[in-house]
This record gives sequence, structure tokens and C-alpha cells, in this order.
Amino acid sequence: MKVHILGEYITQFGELWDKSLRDLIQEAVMGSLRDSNMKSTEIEAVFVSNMGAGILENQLHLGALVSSMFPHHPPSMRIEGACASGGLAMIAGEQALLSGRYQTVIVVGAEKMTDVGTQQSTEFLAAAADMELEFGSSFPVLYSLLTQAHMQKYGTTRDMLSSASSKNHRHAMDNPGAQFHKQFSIDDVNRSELVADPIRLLDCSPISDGAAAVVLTTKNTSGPIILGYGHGSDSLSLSDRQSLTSLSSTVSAAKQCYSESRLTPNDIEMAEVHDCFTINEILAIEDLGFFAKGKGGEASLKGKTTYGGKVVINPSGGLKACGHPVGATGVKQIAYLSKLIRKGKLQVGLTHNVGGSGATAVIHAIGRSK
Amino acid sequence: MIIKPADYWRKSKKISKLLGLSGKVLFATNGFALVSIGAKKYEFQTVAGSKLNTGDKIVTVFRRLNLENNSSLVGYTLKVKKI
Repeated sequence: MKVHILGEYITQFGELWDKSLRDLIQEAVMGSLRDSNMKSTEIEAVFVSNMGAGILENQLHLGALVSSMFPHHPPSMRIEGACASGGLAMIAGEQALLSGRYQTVIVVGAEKMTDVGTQQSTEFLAAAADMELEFGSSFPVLYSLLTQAHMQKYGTTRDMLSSASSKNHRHAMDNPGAQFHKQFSIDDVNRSELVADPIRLLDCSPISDGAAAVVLTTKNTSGPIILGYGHGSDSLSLSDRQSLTSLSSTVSAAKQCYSESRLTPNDIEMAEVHDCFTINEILAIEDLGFFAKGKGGEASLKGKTTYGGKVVINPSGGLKACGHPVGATGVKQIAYLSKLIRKGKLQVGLTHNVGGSGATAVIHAIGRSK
Repeated sequence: MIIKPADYWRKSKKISKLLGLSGKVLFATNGFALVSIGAKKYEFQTVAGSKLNTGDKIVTVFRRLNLENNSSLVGYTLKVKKI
């Protein structure tokens, strides 16, 4: 039994001041139902991905809130794994289907982050770290330490990091739903303001609003298909990691996904990876097996991660240029590649969704059904 | 570590074991450092006004947190200072 994607929808990502969290969720849910040609009453269960509504909106019990948008109030739950919430919600939906309990479910991810100021959103995001062992840190700080470790061990350069950001902004020009439609050269990224040395402003994904939803089923045999998935974990704090130059959660999740889907890295044409900071794209393309350890930066600089290269990384613009509404990202990655498959632009793709500084990683392989 | 007064009360014995220990900076950035103390690694804020680099020798110290004024207990935390 395999899980098929009946339909998908991604809202605009950005600073959407005229839309509330409810508005975004409603738009994504209704949009994906229309795309699937489904009635809302055909949805048997709802899986909601969200990290911050409890802090930013003072709204918990999101599963029930979203279930209330359906006339028949299907069973629902909210899943949280920091920035990996979307990937985890996808797993929850898939496992519910594969158990045979349901045949058609919806997975919706959403986040409303721009109603608060930068300090509050930074503090909220920092809650994805170990609040005891990493007290006083923020995510630019933690990823700065990972960047330094990679530069020290492999000689990864400033230009290599910047090339990932520049490339993602270029890709986003073809994505109308992306938060940013502005191109930056490598020099532009190099000269952007220092945030947490050596991380610069244009190494960092933005604060965003947005939502995405997919309708999953085991009933039909058409439509894009989930070929396999993997779920890896590691210590929440960096100080307990075995390595600072590889995310073992990604390595573990990738192994599971490739094994289940019977694919290898060479089979992947496009991948949506978790570039919350540029170093995380470099780490991802190495840990996913696209490039040798330590060679990700060079591959990025040489154009091997864009069209005409070895594998297209972040065709949507990634988190950096498409935007990163935390709870939506993992679902959006699946939805974006699913749409490309329907348009005939992709045969086999992969999504990579990470929580915190790498404590959680969820990977999906998605392809065209035969 | 330490955030709330209740946290401090629960963790005070653990905190005193980490006070006054020497180690080395592995990586450091704005106000935060990953350090090695003995065979273990820890992450701490750095004392105000300091700039640490990889290889610097440090010692753990107790510092007051710069929190908004309120009527609850004063917050403190462990930080690292260059020796």
C-alpha cells in the first residue's frame, strides 16, 4: 500500500499582515480540497503542523481549531517538532493511512510569525534549542558555531556559503508564492550585515507567515506518490553531538528513506532542503549523499546545485528566499515538488526538513506513480 | 542555565559544581561559546564586553542576568570569562 498525494496548496509566503493564522489555515485547507476535487466531508482525519501558535497567538489545541473548519469535525491532532513540524505531521498522516485506520486525510502546516517584533520572534525560535544547556543562545548563534566548525575542518569559504543564498534567490524568481523576488550576487551576500560571525544577514532565512496543505490517500493509484520516508534524531544541544560537521539525524533519516524507496542519491533530480541558514544547505547536500563530505560548498560554488548541475537544490527558493513559516515549511516542501511532478517537470524528488540545530530530521522521497 | 527562581532553587547544587572550572573555547560567536571542560563540552554565554576565539582559556563565573525589573528574585546564570 502506498500513499498518494491527491492535491496540494501553498499560500503566499511573506509578511501577510491582512491574514491571521486562521485565515492562512483556512486558505490552505480549502485550496488543497479544491485541488484534490474533494468535498470536505471526505476527509477522515486532520494533522496540523505548527510550532508557535501557543506562544505567539496564545492559541493551543490547534487540531481542534482546524477540525472545526470541517462540518463533520474529523479527528485531529497538532504535531510539533520545531522547524521539522511539517515533516513530522506528514509522517503522522502517512502512518495513519498505512495503518489502515483511514483512507484519506489532510496534512496542513501553518505559522503566523510577523505579528510580533524581531526580538520576540527570535526568542520564540530559540525555544527549539535546549533551554537549559543552551540558555542565552539564538539560532543564528548556534548555526554560527556549526559554520565555524565546517570552515575549520573542510576549508569551506565565505563565497561557498554565499553561493547557496544567491542561487536560492535566483530560483525564487520563478516561484510566484515566494517571499522574496530579488536576486543577490555572491558579493551582495558577503557584504550583508554581520549577524553572528561568520553568519551574515543574507545567510539567514526570514521570519514569515504562510501555510501549506496536502490531501493524502491510499484509495487512488494516480497522482504523485510518497516513495518512502525517514525520521532521524540527535541530541537537542550541540554540546552533546558526536560531530559538528554532519547532522547524524539527516544521515540516519536519509538511510531509512533511500532504503524504503529503493533509491540512491543519484536518482534524485530535485531536492527541497532545510536551508534555515546557508550552512545547513551545505551540510544537507553532503549528508544526503549528493556530494562527498566537505565538498558541498565547492559544489554549490561551481553551480552543481542548480539547473544544469548535478541536482537542483531548492527549486522553490528554499527557506532563504521562499520563506520559512516554521510549521508550514515541511508540508510546503512536499506540496511544491508534488506540483512539479503534476506539471511533468519532475520524476523523482526529495524533501529534507530539520528541527532545531539538527535534533530532528525528516526526509521524504516523492515521485510520479507509474 | 537558570531561568526562573524555581529553576535556580532546583538546580543550585548542579550549578555550584560547574562554577570556577577552567576549560578551552572550541568555537565562539557573539556572546556565546562552545567550550570544553575536561572531557565534556558545554555551551555558555560569555561575560559582557568579551570577545572569545577558538583556543582561548576560560573559567566559568556567576553573572547576574540583565532582566526587566520585577519584584521576583534576581536572575543569575553561569557564563565564561577569558583567563
